[in-house]
Amino acid sequence: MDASQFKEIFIRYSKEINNYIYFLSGNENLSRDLTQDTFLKLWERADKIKMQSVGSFLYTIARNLYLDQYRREQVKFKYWKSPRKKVEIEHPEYLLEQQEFHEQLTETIEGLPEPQRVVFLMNRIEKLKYREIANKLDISIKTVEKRMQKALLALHKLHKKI
Amino acid sequence: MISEEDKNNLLAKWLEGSLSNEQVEELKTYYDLDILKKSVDHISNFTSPPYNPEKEWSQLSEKISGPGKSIKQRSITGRRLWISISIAATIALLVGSFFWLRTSSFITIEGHGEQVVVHTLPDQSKVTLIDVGHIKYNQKTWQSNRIIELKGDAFFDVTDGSAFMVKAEFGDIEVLGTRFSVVSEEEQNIIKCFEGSVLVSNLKDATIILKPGEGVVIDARERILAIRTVLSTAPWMTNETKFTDTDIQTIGQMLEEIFTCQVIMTDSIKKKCSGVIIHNDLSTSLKLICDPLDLNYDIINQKEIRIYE
Repeated sequence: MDASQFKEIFIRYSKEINNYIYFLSGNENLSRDLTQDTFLKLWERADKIKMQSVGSFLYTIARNLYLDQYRREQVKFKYWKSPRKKVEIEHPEYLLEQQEFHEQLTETIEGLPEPQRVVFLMNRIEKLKYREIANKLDISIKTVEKRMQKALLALHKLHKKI
Repeated sequence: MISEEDKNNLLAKWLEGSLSNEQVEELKTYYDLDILKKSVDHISNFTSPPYNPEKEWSQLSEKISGPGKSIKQRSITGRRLWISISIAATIALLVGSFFWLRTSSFITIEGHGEQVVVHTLPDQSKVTLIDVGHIKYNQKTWQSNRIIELKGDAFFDVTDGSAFMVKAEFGDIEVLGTRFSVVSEEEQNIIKCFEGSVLVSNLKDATIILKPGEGVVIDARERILAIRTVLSTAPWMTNETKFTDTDIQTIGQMLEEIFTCQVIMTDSIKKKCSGVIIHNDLSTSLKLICDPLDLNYDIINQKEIRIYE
């Protein structure tokens, strides 16, 4: 892999790796920091990596970097603290309800075990199909389905409480 | 009709749109899909944080100059420096404790999962290891310092005396004379109190005191996820659990505990009954509970049970 190929890979994959680390950690600054570290690691091993496998390899590096040092930090999605509303004119009570609803959903996501949270957010926010997630994370589709199922059950359970 | 094969992960399949209309209708009898859809749609509107690949590239390209090498030494930020110090301190501690451990009298008891291992501690307190996992404590200092490290699941029957502390994977548990258990599940610990009271400390949110019949679920980030009603005895200590004049919602929680499953039923079911749950027989237990109360039940798979009127 030469420098121009490396740049191409960076431009193509760095945003999704950044999002992946954000889904893991809930921390924007850390995500950007670790995305840089992930690509530095890739560059260090540039002679050994096959271009075809670079996608899932990046996810593995990113995950290992995160798990090595940051796993025990509390996950708080500050970026999602309040809903980004498109319609401004709303009834105040409705807005309050929406805010509570939003916060409860965010907290439920924060409380999910990492593997479920990541798969669920990759599906919802990155709009990836289960097969695509399985390929990227190098896991089976069944595992993706299982994690999605558990995340959905947690959301369903939340409504039983509300 | 939902096929046997598709009973697993049905919600996941519904979300992906791979269920037939008929299957969706059937799924609606188990779950409130409309409200779930509302949540899922709301989350789908979340956006990822802003990120500019070109700008990030210009930063990264400053750090590299040739293939296979990262050239410029990166500056150590405050956080990284702190981590480096922590790692160094941990290594120093580990090296130190290695020499100390060699001369101390640590006892390690391993559970092997095939049958329960009961170990009596120097003060006659008993630890039952249910599965693989281990406990570790210092025999020499035990009488004055009752601290035990635990990895895995265990049931504790503690004799009266000085404070007794269990250092579990997530959270510290302090008790006086009591009976309690610690169960490790995927990414979480469940601590249940059967007798006396149990103080769970060193948590992110708060310290919690459990009374008999209460349990707490703690995640890997040492946060309290839920407080639950639990059985009066650990399921593995007996083969059956009796209950008297107990409401069906509590019985549902007992079933969840014993069979490690999820019980789905609406809060509007408020019937009470007395009876027994047989620990190794889910379908008989459900029949014994539901038939007298005129309730229906479905075992969706071994992990999900639906009870309805």
